[in-house]
Amino acid sequence: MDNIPKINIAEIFKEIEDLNYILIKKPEHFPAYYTGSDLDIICDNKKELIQKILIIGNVYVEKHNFEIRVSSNENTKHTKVDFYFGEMLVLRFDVHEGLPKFKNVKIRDDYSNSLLENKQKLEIKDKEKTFTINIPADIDELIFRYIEYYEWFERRPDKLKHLKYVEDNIKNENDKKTFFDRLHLYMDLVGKDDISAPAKQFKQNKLVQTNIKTKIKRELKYHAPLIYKTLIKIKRKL
Amino acid sequence: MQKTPNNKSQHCVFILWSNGFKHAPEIIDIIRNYPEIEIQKVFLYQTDKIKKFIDQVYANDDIPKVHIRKKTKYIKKSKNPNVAVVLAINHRPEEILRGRGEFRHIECQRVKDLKDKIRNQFNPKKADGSRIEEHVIHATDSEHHVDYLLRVLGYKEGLQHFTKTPNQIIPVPHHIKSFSHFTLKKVPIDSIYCHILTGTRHSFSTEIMPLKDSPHYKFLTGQPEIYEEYIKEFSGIYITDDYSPQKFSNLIKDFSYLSPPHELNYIITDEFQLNKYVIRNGLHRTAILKSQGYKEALILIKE
Repeated sequence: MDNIPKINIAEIFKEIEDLNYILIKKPEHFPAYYTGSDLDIICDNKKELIQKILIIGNVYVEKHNFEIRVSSNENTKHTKVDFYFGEMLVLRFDVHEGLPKFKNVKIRDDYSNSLLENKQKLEIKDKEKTFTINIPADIDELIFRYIEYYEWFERRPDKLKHLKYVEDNIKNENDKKTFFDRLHLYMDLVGKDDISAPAKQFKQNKLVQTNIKTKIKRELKYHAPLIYKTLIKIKRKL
Repeated sequence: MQKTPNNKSQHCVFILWSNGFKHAPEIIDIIRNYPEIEIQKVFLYQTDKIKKFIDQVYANDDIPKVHIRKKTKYIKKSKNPNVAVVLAINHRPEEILRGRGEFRHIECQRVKDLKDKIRNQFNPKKADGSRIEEHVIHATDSEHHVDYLLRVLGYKEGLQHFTKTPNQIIPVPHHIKSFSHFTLKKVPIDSIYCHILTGTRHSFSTEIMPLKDSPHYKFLTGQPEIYEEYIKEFSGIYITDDYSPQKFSNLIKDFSYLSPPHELNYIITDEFQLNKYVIRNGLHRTAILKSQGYKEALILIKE
């Protein structure tokens, strides 16, 4: 692995510094990276941002024999820009125009505007040089990590690290209140509106290994609106 | 007349009537070299019903019908079923309001000047040297007319056919099928092949052949006549992009692949066999790279 040329992430982020973007879930050792890692970016103009990455990427293809594989899903407005060396994925840019799409969580579309409006600058020291990146406001970073945990925890135990990050960074009752207020303002669990969602998920065989607590929780979520409707009917008759 | 500032590029269409065909190369050269006008397509259109076609061309014109009847009389007599069509982009439209009352309309002064220049030069002449109003060329007044005319010419989507973007990230010519996945890769230049037309314009076929056998490469390696013949034979029918030996020669001067501001103008290919690529866009540029001695080239491979 030592013979894989290093990608100069600082150079890429300097190139996009004037664009309206945020880097979410910034890796701990950024701008250093592990082979195969990814960088999640939310922006308001995917085309412009990716073009800048590609212009720098040309040099890596030309001089260092990298391959850049680009795959877009225009329904979700998501593009992956993968830097490959041979058959090895070295670095992935996950670029979202607007919010990423989640299966277990519904997020209001206008949250992306709020994220970009409230972004903060972070100065990064890379060897002798410094450069600036855009990251979400602290509260939004916590929300994103929590969503990431909720979305994946059943299938990816490693996502527990995001929950731990949230726990470690909510310092007091005030933080906790702000976190939940903002979370509930923009986020909705799938199934709250669509009472058949858990049943659909069962059909799709997505709940293969869930613990009893989760099963009860999902069953309750499924039955709660029915129970509520029945209570309303009873109340009207009384 | 009132000038309207407009910074947005606009499309325009020129129709070359059969009475101007003998001057077609010169007329196209005038359009090609006119400031801020960039030819996008040149093609022949054939119709069995020239009278109906003329009526359709002028149907949206904001000028009195009497005037249109007068100025199209000579074309309707023509036995030639062909017209040449030039679709161009006007990078600096100069819109003006012209005409009176119900015939008041917007047109572009730049396009009008170009049209008049061609008419002055190539319309038939009277004995005293002044021009006869049997126009060799027609030009559209606005993009609305362009859209309408392209539909008349058989493009169901109208102007959208030429302005659609086959890829959401990088600039790609409209004639390439939409794609959302691609790879940028450096490959040996000898693994790049091209589609070449063979035969004549009346009986032709398409072959995939190595770059070194293409008329384009031969143009650069001491056999320019092969490319000249190739363009002459197939232009306007199977080759509708604006190619000419002169334009190719101009491209060679100071050519530097993927240098600013063209960093994203990749040679676009498909992988037709394992590690063999056929060019979809960029044959002229690849031929130049090969003639310059490059052994490898950065290409875009569609998936």
